[in-house]
Amino acid sequence: MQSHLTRGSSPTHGPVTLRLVEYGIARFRKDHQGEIIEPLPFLSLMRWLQNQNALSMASSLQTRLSFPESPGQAYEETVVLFLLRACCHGRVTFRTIFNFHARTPSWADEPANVCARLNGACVPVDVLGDAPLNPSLGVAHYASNIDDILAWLQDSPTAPAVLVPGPLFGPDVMIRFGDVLGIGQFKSHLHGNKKSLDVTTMTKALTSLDPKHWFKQEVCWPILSLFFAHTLW
Amino acid sequence: MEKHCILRFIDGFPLPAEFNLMAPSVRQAIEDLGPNVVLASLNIDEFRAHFIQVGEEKILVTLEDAMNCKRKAEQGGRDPLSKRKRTRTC
Repeated sequence: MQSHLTRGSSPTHGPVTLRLVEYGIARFRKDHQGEIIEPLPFLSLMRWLQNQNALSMASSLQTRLSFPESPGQAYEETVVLFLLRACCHGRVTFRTIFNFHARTPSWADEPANVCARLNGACVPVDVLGDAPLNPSLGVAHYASNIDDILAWLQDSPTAPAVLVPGPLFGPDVMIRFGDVLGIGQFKSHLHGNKKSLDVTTMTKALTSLDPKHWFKQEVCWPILSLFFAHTLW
Repeated sequence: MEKHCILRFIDGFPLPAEFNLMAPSVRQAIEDLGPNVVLASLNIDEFRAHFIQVGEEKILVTLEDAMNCKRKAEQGGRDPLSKRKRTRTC
């Protein structure tokens, strides 16, 4: 339920689907997968969970982060949660949230507002705040294949703010900040010289941000590059 | 189609991302991204401050503890460089 906010994974597996459908939060689509399309029950339950200390999002993340063997996904969700809460209502600029390397863009001092798309326009999203904004758009969209990613990228009229690609893709997340598309890689590591990520981790992270390496295991790059070149640049 | 401004970023925690490493592989990876790429790291201070501000600092403490435990397990013993006292046992 909470991962729908930060991870974008539709509740399609196991008994969760049945429960969410039974409680009127999700519906079955034609392909028999569950999908949350009713924002009010979703909002109500999220708010109720947030008010229960042991069931709040922070508590859930804390529990999952405490497992040394697999904190990766929970860490990614923690970063997404941070960006969703910090980057709204014009609270911060890009320069506040990011440390630019080498080249500082002209838009560095503009507000960094996470936004979704509604009828082709950028709109703010807020599910956990006091005044929810466009909750029906969802927040995160999990993309399991290239088609899902391209559909999210190619300015479809309606799209959530955050894209969480599957494991075969390069970046961990894509996030819309208005006209700026953030492509991020998250690394929760303690290796290295104790001051920064080590060389191997940095090299892998940088490489994963290079479109030439996206979906390398799945498709031929020259074909895919045409799609991404058309979409991003 | 509308063109986007692209921001590529790396978020490292507890260890931050450092782009100025002198290693050839890092420099090559940056070079491969192209000359006009906007590259950034997430501001760890802002990241940490946010969770403190909303009273959820335990999230990051838990993550650091988990990472320390993992590192100790990989090293097969006590980490001599760790100066922080932890109440949690691995």
